[in-house]
Amino acid sequence: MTAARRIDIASGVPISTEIAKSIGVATGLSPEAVIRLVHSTGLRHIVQQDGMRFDAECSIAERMIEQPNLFLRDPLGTILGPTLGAEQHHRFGMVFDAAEKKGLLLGPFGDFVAGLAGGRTIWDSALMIADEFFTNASKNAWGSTSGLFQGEPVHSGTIEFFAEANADLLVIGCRDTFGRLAVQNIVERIKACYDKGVADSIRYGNSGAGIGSFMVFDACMSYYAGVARGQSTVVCVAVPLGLSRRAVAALPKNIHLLMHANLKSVKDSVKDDE
Amino acid sequence: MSDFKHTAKLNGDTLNLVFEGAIDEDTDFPPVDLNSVKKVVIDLNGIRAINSVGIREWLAWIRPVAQAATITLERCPKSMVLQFNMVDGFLPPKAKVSSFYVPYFCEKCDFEGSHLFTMGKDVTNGPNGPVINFNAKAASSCSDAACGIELDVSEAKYFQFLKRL
Repeated sequence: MTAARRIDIASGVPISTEIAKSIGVATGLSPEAVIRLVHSTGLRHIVQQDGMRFDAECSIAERMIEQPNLFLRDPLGTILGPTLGAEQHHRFGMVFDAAEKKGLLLGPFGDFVAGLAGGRTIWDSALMIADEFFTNASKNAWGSTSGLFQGEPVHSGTIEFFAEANADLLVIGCRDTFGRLAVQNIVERIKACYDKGVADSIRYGNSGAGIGSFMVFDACMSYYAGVARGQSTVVCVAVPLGLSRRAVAALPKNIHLLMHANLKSVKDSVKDDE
Repeated sequence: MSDFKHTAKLNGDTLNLVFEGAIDEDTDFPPVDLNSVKKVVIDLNGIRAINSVGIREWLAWIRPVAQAATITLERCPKSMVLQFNMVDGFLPPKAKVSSFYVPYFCEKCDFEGSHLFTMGKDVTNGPNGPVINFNAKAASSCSDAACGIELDVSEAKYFQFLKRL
């Protein structure tokens, strides 16, 4: 098992081959500064001390570094942890053929979020996030040669969309069986929106617009992504429940990225994780 | 298939459009005859959501329309106002916004709603820029005396587009 270590961002980020195993601990970083830090240092986990769940986010980062396969297998368990005592968790899950239409998802998911205590203020953000997650996963079925959702899909795959909420937090996630997401590209695209503005970062043509990751990052409190190349992509976000939109927008953001993981069989990965 | 729908009514050189549903990769915006239409009034009240590809589609559609005609946007929902502020050109230069929604919320009693701000009434021009003349507490129908209802936006961010009108 690889041991994670914490780095105090205020003291500077050392240049080290251990950077992938490091958790950058920061205070008061703007969303833009978080992305710039990830981009410039190679840090893959930044957790903010003045954030809502500092200890929990540090534990998530540690689990993702030390047990990467656990996140890919069980992202909700990695992020929310086990249900304790009388705590009630609300769960949502749907599995799709990648070529299916997102309308099948958005209606039921909208009902799920509307039914959560404290979910009304994040309803539209949650739906936007679901739309972007589904669209990003689904477009893999059409490949890069044809236009976005034009004609017949050329690859087959599955999209698993899931969400789980406790009293304070909603985690929304999506897993596809393509494993084509380049995690570094997420950072590049979000950074481009800060560098050039959103309008000048839009990709024209047949593919995605290239600003969806920025929109999702902007709307969430914590962003989690991991890829097992060619096998699985998992992207999740956490959004707080019961707060005003204004309070949500002011929350410091955390980010957790897992790159180049190799998805192993459950048996092998459990052995690795021990 | 998108659930985006539109209705169009031509009145002289003014085209009145009503949009509803989601703006996304499947949206087909209506064609506008740029030779004869001089004013376009778009009612956006029914727009439920817009995604990243929808933003691109909107920009591609509205840019040429805005070059040929005067645009007025009515009853803009929060999802569109967020893009006015985030995406340069989403609200075209010289376009007018006659009214837009602002959400309000009370964390104490979980009361939530939105109010349609009308330009000239809820927002007026002051010497240092736009002035918001709206009292969320007075406008709310919450009966809880302790209700702490307030506008549920970062005002500096949400009202930013007003400076460009």
